[in-house]
Amino acid sequence: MRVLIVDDSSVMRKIVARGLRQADFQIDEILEAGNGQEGLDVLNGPNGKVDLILSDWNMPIMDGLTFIKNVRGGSPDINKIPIAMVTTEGGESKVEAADAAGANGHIKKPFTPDMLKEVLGKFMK
Amino acid sequence: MKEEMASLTMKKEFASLIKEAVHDVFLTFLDTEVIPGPMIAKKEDDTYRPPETEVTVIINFSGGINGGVHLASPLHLSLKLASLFSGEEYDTLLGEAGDGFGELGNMIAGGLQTRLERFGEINLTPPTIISGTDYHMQYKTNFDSIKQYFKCPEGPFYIEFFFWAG
Repeated sequence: MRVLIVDDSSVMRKIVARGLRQADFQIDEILEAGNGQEGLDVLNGPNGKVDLILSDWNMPIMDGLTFIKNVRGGSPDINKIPIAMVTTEGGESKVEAADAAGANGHIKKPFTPDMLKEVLGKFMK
Repeated sequence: MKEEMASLTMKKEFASLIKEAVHDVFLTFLDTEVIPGPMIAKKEDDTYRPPETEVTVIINFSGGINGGVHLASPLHLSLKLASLFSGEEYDTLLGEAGDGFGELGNMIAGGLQTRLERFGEINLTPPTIISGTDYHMQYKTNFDSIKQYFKCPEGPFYIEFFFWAG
């Protein structure tokens, strides 16, 4: 299974990747992007087939909400990929906005491997 | 609500919530022991000189609570905590280490945000880092604050929670 992590913090991308491994998910490859635009470039590139996307909310150039909208409005190859937000933005209005844009799950920082299992388990093979 | 927030009872509760948030983050991401120390409750313009710190992460709150969180520590501790957080070794706070220490503050602030939901939805700003010792931080005069001190094997740090108390 291939996972795309979209976060402007390289440290956070490492921590999310470590969390996925600690949650015992069978991950074949983790792809990384530093903002929503880079995430779209990965998805639309030659090596862009992924099974799950984890995205931060606040990022420069293209934020997580705009990124979700672009993925859901994208080609049939990418517009059904499950997307979970991994962010400190856990307020009700933010969750509703992300859901309306097409998010499939929400993981609030700080998260634990068990929280990742609970939210992402249904998407993992 | 504002009078309630300024009360010592409420400040003790805030300190307790800070301790929970810090404990969660340290347990989950740093795998290191953290021991709470004293809580200092004061008006920001009271005279009090905290132990010297060299790096301060600032995350501001708006919405249900206006104010924010500071994570402050000596430089050597901020580097060590950033290293424990990311799994990399750092000798300068510039670049990824600063991002890591900022994200650590962000996670603690996020944990506190979750625990303060009864005050309404709280928005967080991205972390900002101030390095150095020779500066004075000043809030609006109607802000109140508490500082909760901690100690981990690598050194001391504190979390300050400042808030508009009316």
